[in-house]
Amino acid sequence: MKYGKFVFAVVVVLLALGSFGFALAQDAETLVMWSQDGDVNDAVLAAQFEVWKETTGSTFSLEIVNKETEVLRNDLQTAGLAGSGLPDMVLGPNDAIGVFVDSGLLQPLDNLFDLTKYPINLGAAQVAGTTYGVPTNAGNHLMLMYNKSLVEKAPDTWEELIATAKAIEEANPDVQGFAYNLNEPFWFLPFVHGFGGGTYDADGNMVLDSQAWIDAYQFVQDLKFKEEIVPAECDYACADGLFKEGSVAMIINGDWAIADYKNLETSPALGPDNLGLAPWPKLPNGERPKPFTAGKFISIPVGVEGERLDAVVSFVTWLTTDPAAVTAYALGTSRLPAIAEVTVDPAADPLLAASNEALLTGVGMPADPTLRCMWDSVRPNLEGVMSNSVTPADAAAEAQIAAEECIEG
Amino acid sequence: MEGISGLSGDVILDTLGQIIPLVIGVIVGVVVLEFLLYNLLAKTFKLKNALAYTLLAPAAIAILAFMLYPLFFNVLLAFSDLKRDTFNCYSPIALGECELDHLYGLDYAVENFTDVFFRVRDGEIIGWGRLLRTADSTFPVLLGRTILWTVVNVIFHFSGGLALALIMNQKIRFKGIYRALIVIPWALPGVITALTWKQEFHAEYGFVNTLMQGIGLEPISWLRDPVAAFVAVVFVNIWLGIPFYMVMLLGGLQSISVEYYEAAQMDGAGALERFRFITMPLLRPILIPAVTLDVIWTFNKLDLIVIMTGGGPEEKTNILVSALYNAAFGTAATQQLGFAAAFSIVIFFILFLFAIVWITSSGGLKEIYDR
Repeated sequence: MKYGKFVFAVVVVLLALGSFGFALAQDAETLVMWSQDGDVNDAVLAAQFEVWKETTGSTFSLEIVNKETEVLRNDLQTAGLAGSGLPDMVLGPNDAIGVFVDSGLLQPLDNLFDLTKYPINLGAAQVAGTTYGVPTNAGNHLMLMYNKSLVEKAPDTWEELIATAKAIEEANPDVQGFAYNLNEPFWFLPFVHGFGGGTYDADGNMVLDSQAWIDAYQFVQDLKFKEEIVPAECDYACADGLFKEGSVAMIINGDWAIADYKNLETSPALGPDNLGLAPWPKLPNGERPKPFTAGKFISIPVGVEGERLDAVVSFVTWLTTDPAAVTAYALGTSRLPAIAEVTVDPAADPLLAASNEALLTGVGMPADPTLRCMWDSVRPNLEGVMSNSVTPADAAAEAQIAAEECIEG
Repeated sequence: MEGISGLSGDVILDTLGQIIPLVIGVIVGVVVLEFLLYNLLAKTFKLKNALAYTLLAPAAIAILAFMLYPLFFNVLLAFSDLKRDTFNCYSPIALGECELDHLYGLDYAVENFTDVFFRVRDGEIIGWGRLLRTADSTFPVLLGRTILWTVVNVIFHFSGGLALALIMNQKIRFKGIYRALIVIPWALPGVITALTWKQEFHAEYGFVNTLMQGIGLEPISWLRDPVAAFVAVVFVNIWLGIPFYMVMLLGGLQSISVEYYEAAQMDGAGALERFRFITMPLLRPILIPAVTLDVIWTFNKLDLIVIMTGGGPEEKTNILVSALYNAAFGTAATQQLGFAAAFSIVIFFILFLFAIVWITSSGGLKEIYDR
């Protein structure tokens, strides 16, 4: 009994150290990726990592942590401020890259990768001539998606889309003809581009109050209040959920969702046979709305070094340049490859070919950090237009003022 | 947006494999440290109250680590110029050349606190400062909306809670069941409540519009119309807040001796007089702290607004704290953390002043202090 307490203390200390050691030992061999991609696409990526691991004999494992866009941005900055807790890789769209570069949180990749391998969309991840992201795919573009069991042929104009939507609703009272993420600027910008507008003028100044912006606000307001073909309120989850269960015939969504919609388990009303893809219908001026295009990019945060950096570079290089790996990832996620050696074979995947057709109608999305001021300034004004409490002209003027204040800081 | 399809057995096991060793490590570590601390205090320093200090130590350390340090850090941030462009100056690992000649200073604090209220150009005030992206997101507008939000909520919380407490204080059957049902909103996690109500207020598929259409009313776009959205969040917060008052006031009512009522009744006092001259005065020691807490909680109610409306549409359901959250971390975030820290200190002082004035003028804590 004399040494009882001592032995007990030693045992508990060893237990504690062992527990911590076990937890830490797990972290040392795990590469962490923060991903803004969906679960289905993340699963494809995880499977690809296992193939790479087998090929190279690497001892690292991969943990993918899925984070929504804003959460990922906030978490990365919080970890950056603390100086620890940053992941080994970040997978997301290119428009966040500028913000992270401004904050000094991403490593330049020019000396880590052979950038000549990525001729298609690398510019979307470059800030002031330096590269901060390697593309996993080309696209990230919005397009028209329809349920073939409800829509025979994709409408080529908005006039046709409105008529089709109304006809479907008349024939099927429980089905919404058309829906999309009404108040999200990413879904609105294609209309602005279609009416001939853009975010920046030729001198690089942000212009959000041109006639094209007013026309675009008017157009989406009319879709809701004049034509009454969209739901009174609908966000991403609404359009996505209704489409999967067959309660809406046509939606606007991005290439990231295709793999999910092809999966009959998650999308019982769709699957590869019922899912149809098409470019945006033409506006009354004869132009198609032009979605922003770029892709998803893998960036490497600061602080990743040594063996971990070697492993990350090796994996990302293989994933994005090895033709077999690129093809497998493209087919698995139903997204377009970002290297020239791998092209889309319409016979191999007609949906991928249709997505490619829609991609060609888009415009490149810059990685300029001020783009964030556009998104943030347009959002509340678009909400006003879509609740009919703000006129298109006032919305455009207000967005311009807000954006200028945002850029001034 | 994404489902929980990734929550497979492997993921759960892997997660537990990481969490359980950590939890065991923390528990064992705390026990060992407590053991060592007690030995140090009792045997080395021979303190009389060694056990008391040992048992208080974890709580004291937790308060220091999770309350005092963040509070201090927040004040420090208010004296900084931390924003997106200067992030690398404050981060120990960020790349890039720091262009600031000092990291903390009174000049930054003056600028941050001024920005909360005013828009300044070239040293001159040119109007109210926009805390977010719309012209309505100025400090006076947000303060006005916050006061309206707080007053309406507290009035309905109090009156609803008192009415229910009076009913529950009567001799009625199945009282326990009713009481449990009424307390449910309070017991549910706020996030679940907010998400549930968000769906119920959906214009197309929500229960509220279905009910309205059922009785012949026009459906309302609850979460897309600024006024309707504000009404919706106020309604939900009223629903959430009533059980707190009911529980507090019911406890107060049950502590009032029936002899007072019997004596008053013998003197000919009616129900209204008994309520006014017996019930209300004797509820006062409970009511004042309850109202104080309710005002502070309602004034600071962040989760409900952020989840149900995100402060929108058009940033018109924001109150001060949700505007602060959105300015620092939300969709309109400009990463101006120094400014956001100053903004939070302003909100803190508003509530601090309210608490002092309210508690002093109401004399609500007098009886507690006099005991």
